[in-house]
Amino acid sequence: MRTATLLWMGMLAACTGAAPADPALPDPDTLMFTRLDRDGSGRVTVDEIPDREARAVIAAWDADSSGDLDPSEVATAMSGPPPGLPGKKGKARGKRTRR
Amino acid sequence: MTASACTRAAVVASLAGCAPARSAEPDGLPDIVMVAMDTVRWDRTNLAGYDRDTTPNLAAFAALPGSVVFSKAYTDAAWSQPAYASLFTGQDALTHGVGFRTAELADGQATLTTMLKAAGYETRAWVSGPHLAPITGINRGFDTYDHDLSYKTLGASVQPAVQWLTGTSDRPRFAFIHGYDAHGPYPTPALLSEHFSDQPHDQPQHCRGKYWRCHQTEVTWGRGPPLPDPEQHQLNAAYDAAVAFADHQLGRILYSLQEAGRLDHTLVIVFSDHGEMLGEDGWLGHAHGHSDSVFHVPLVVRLPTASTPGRPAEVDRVVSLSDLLPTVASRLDMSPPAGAEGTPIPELLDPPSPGTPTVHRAASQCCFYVRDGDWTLKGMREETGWRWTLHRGDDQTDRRAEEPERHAALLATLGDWPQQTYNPRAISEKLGTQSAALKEALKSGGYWSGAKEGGQ
Repeated sequence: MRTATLLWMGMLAACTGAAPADPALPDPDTLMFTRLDRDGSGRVTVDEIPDREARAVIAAWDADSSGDLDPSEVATAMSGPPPGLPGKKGKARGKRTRR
Repeated sequence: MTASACTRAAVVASLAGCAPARSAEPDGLPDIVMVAMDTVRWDRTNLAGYDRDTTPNLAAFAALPGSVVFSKAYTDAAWSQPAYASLFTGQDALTHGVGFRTAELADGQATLTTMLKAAGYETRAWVSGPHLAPITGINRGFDTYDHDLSYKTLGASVQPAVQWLTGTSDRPRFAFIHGYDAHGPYPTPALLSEHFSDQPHDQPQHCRGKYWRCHQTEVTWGRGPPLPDPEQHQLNAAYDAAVAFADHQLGRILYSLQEAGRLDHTLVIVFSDHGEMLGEDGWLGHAHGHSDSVFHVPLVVRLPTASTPGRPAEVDRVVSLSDLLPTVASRLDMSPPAGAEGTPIPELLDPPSPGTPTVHRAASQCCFYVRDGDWTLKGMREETGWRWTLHRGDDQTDRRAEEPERHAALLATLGDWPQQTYNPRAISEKLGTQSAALKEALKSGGYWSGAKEGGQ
């Protein structure tokens, strides 16, 4: 398991450019941006969000109206809130038996 | 003596027993931060070698010098209410009985928090949901208990928690930060919600506003037929995205502590209270079930004295969440609250030592789960009695016939649990009768057991 963790950290370092031996925690906002910026262009674009409403989602956080998201805009989008209940619960299918 | 006087006396006596003789930490009592990533199962983290990048921040924290990863950590119960009761009392699920026989901690029951408060800690929690409502008693000992009945994600607590933890104080601080990020229906920002899916939803499932997504299911928790492949795929992708979002918030907390120069002076415990069944053998959700998916949880601990020689980076011995209270108590030279059954984790003490194998026992609403190394005894309550199976590793072959002594020994660890009478459904209903808001919160989380209302 530890090997898996270290391998993972090595991959992570390769993706983020951090030194593999750096014992410090990486910036989570950088990790998240790297995750979403699939082509490494430095911007998160509509094509990189596999959501039917990706354009509206991008627009919601596109503070500078550039049409895509920069790291600070992604960080804002991923910082929460949100309050509220977990959503409408589905009803049980009539013929499914669940204990 | 009146009942209330008895209660007060018990509280005073239990608190008095918790007073520290001295601090075992070289720099005095450290700040303690417990981050609960609710509903995150072990095998969906990168610590377990999961091939989707769900938990890069947890992996980075685990890789820090001084972090100890517990690869066989198990919860005491399969849903939040009893699991947190075990965490805060150090007792087994059917000892405290919260969620099984009662909706709240016993009067006078001291907790991890009351122990720390008696030792001079400032204590504060950021929590939500019905199972952590003050009525459960989990709030006991907290100076400030920031709670509402919604199912908040960790992100809602990052800023206030970090602000408090990085501010000045002349007292040590204990923070309990909890989030329902990975709890169904897996609310995730739309930027991330389909990240692991190659079959995005045809119709985005809005929740918490236009720019968040949930995975709404048409089936309730429990056991049923296997899910169709597309539904199974979407369920997996939605859960993994929710875990990744929880991990992001964990990263924000820990990174902020690091940047403020506080991380190395803080005892940090990151864990989940239970896992989640995602269709394995027809099971969904949690609270029910008897599999690793619901009992095996991530646990990473980093001590303020991180550089102690000889401390292992990982421990593959079986440990329980109920071991954490005695461990903290032992490290800080405090007496754990009366009735604590967990044992201090020797790999986390000074000097660290290899622990001896322990047997873990846990319960869900239908089932028992006993873990001894690679062996698991599972029990399911059926109309005709208990049905037991014995397994080794991931192999689901029942080995009772070839291992009768092992079967008997593991069964014996349960003591009188199979003979006990309890009714989690009735307890949930009792909790729900406290207020309309509490009932609604239980229903929306899938916990309301009203016979005609679905849920469990």
